[in-house]
Amino acid sequence: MKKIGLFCTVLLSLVVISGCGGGGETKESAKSSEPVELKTPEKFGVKLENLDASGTLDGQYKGKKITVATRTGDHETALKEAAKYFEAASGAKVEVQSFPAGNDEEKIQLDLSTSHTFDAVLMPVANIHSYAASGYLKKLDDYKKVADPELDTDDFIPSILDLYGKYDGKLYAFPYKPDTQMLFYRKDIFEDEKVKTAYKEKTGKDLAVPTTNEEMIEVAKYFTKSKNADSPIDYGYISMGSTTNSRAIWMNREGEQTVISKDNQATVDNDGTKKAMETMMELKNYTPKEWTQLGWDEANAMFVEGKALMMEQWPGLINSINDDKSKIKDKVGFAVTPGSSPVLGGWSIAVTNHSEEDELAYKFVEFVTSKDAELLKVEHTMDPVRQSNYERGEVMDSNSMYPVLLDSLTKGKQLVDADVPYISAQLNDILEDETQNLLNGKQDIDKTTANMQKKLKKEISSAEIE
Amino acid sequence: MKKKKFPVSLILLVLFTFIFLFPIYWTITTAMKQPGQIMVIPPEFIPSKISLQNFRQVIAENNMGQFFWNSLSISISTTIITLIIASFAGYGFSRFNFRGKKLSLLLVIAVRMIPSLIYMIPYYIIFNQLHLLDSKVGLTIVYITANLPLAIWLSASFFDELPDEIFESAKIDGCTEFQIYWRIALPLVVPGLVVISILVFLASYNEFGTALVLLFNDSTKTLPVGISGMVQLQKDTPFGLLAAAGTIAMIPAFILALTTQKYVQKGITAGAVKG
Repeated sequence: MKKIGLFCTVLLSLVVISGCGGGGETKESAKSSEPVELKTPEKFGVKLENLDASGTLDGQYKGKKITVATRTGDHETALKEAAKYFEAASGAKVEVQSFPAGNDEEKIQLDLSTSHTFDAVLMPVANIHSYAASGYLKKLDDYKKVADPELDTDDFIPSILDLYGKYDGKLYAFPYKPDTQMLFYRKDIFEDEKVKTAYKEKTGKDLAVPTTNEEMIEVAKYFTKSKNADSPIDYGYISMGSTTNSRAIWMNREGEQTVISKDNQATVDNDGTKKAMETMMELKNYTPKEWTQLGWDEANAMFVEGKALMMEQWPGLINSINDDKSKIKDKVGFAVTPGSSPVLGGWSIAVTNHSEEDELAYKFVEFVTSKDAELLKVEHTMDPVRQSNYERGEVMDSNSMYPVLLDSLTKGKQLVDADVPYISAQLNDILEDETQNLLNGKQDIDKTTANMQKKLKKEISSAEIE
Repeated sequence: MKKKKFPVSLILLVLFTFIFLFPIYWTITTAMKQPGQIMVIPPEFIPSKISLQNFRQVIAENNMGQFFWNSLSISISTTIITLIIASFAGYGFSRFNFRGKKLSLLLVIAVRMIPSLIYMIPYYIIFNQLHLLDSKVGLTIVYITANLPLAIWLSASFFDELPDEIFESAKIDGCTEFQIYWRIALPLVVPGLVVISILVFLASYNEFGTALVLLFNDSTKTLPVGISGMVQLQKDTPFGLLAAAGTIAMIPAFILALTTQKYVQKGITAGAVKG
């Protein structure tokens, strides 16, 4: 029994240790609260001289602290990297807190409405719009007095500032990470003389990277083994056909298709959407039979295995393509999605309404999206949102996708997330469910668009959005 | 001559062992593979090359050591405190008759029936007021309250198993009630307490939802929250790293299973024959 007593004592002391360790900062983070002198960094051949926001950061925030919330992963890493330089210039301490994908939205929403610990949030655009509608965010125009004189908001990629940063005509956030779907294609096959000759013989046309839906269908058909035994590759086209991803396939198509109007009305039941869905159903014939099961990992794995000629995907695919085990490394070209109306994703960063250090939070938000500081995030997969940065130093050459990415971002027409405050996720679910019903042959196109329209309308009206 | 019986039980045993052990084998071997060996067809059932790179990376870059310690300290704290409270309460419910005893026991278990999600927002608001958000103490309190009902019920049933004669003899020998509890009853229900410990420890160690809501910082996050943060949208799932983290996370469960097996058997049997 004495032994049990001794065991309990030891473990109880563990309890105390565990208790005392809660909630505090790590030793490392406590140490870092002292601002340190950092060397002027050089990125992509550009010396980043303006990391003090044109002199508006001068150590005046010493002793203050802000907390910034975002998703775990590259966003967090990129913010932490920039925070080091911000701390050195401002004297303040920045704590970046991150939450796993899939749970971050609820967690941040809960804090914004209840505990108010976050001073700034970096989140997908649709979420930022919801927060703005709920009154959780500060208007950034209110900080003009303390703004960097070289802020230059016109430098953001055209339409990005409006789409990513504004809600109801007012600026609530700065764009942080641009995102758009692109066409990845097998350059080696498109440039193969034998393949080109064979294509010309069979179709009477020159083989070229498609720029329209019709061209894409034609090329995809020729390069699908089940339709053409001479095809050098199994499938003409691939993308993520699984639920949560499939709506992008028809939303990428050209035409006047829209989902939600600017005044939050469902507008999906239109001829443009129907035409886009017709293209999607035609493309289905040139995809693997398990297409509707393919998510990010599965679809990318098939493409890097060399099974498909073309793939519509988010830019992150480049990591799989460039992997040492990839069978298509250095064999891939990039283009704007056929029809030139790619869907957009994207992330913005904003100051929260309950922040007690809102001016400092604003300076941080401004800093991480500033012309010089945003080059600090590029190596963490956060591509530039300022068009001038694509022209600086070796930025454009650092990533073979960049010319097309910039072009796609300029041409992007609508967000992949249904951009209605509070209910974006529910509306996305409706779009996905109906798209899956169509892809799986449970209903035709007319019924799909009609169902979408009806359900979106009902959801929007029950949310009583003004 | 008797016909030899077909060893059906042996086949079933092998089959179930395989079903239960294969995922563990797959996790451990995946942890030792490089990315190019993982998503391949046909799959490498026996890794062609073994590397510990995933373990090194997960510990060095993904803060896994911190998460592991947090999980361990929270789970051990929860287990010890739950055990102490539950053994006192269980002893009380078993040994003493008082008005409302049955109702109290029913109320205790009723708490367990309410989905834990319901408590989440109230916890969040209360802990925010008490400055217990993002604190291991706060999470330990939640885990203790969540585990106590079942622990009390189980412990009461284990004390019920003890014959009344033991208590009467101890009283005749002059033991106080606490001495009876501490010197006589407690050592006799150790197998039962071990079962409770395992249930409580694993429930706390594996819990995800509450930890996700109540913790913010890397210095307080637990293993399940930390591991889930390794999956990023629009990036390839790091299967090797996840498997390495999973393998590390399995260690306490393995140690528990190996060291407490005989108690578990005794404890489960003791609970089962209660009538």
